[in-house]
Amino acid sequence: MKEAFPAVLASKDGLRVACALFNLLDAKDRKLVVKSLPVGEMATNRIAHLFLMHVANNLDDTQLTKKKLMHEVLIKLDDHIDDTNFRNVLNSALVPLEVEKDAAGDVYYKRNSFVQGDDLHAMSLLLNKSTSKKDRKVRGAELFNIVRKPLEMFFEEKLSYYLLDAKPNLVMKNLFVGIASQGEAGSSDLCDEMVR
Amino acid sequence: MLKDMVKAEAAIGDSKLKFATTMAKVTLKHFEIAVRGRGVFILLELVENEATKHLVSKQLKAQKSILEDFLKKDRGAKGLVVLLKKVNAL
Repeated sequence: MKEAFPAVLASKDGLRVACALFNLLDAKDRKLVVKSLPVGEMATNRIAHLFLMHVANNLDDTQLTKKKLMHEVLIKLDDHIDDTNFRNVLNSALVPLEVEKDAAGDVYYKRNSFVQGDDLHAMSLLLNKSTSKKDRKVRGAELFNIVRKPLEMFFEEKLSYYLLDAKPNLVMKNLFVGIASQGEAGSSDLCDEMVR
Repeated sequence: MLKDMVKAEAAIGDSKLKFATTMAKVTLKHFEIAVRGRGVFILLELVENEATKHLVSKQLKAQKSILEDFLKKDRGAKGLVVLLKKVNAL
């Protein structure tokens, strides 16, 4: 699987398979797979970035998420911030994917503002059989805190540019709203700079 | 974005509401500019939310006539219509 994952992620059916297999893997095998992923390249790929979002939102190992996954995404921030797929990976860390159960008991990712419904559906295969144990809210808060500081620094440097940009930047918006929802908008340097 | 930030801060029940207070001060200080633009939606968010209502209610009631004047000039301003309804209900 370590070798096959990048090739599998060339199609949407492959994405379904990859996400389903990742759900079934135990923590040790997940670690092996994550360590072998070319995260930097995947983050801008139309399909592979969806798998990264799935991994970030299901992996229980915070350190692995921080030091491998999000670290490799964040070092490419300057180069790829305008890429929609790259932005989606960051958005899924700022606004973690929520799940819901249907009448048959199957678990699906809830619709959100940045991923299309059929992509979310493809990522949801065997989500109810996931070996993840961590509470989604706890993981979500950890994910937010991993990306918060680097993104704050990035946007603080170029705040006027992004505030005046005609195309709204959803990453920046989600960052600001996330800070506010933690009750720290009053004490954040970035928010202070924005209000000024 | 600012509206969503006010909403998010009010949702956690933070009694300090530092950001909402700052936004209330800014929009009330530049009241005429705010109500003629998208700032009206920030005021609307502040007045609709029970946690933040007290930050703007007094000043909004006092400036009701200004809102009515602007509405006479621009009947199509939906945000202003809703804000005026809320102010009347205060």
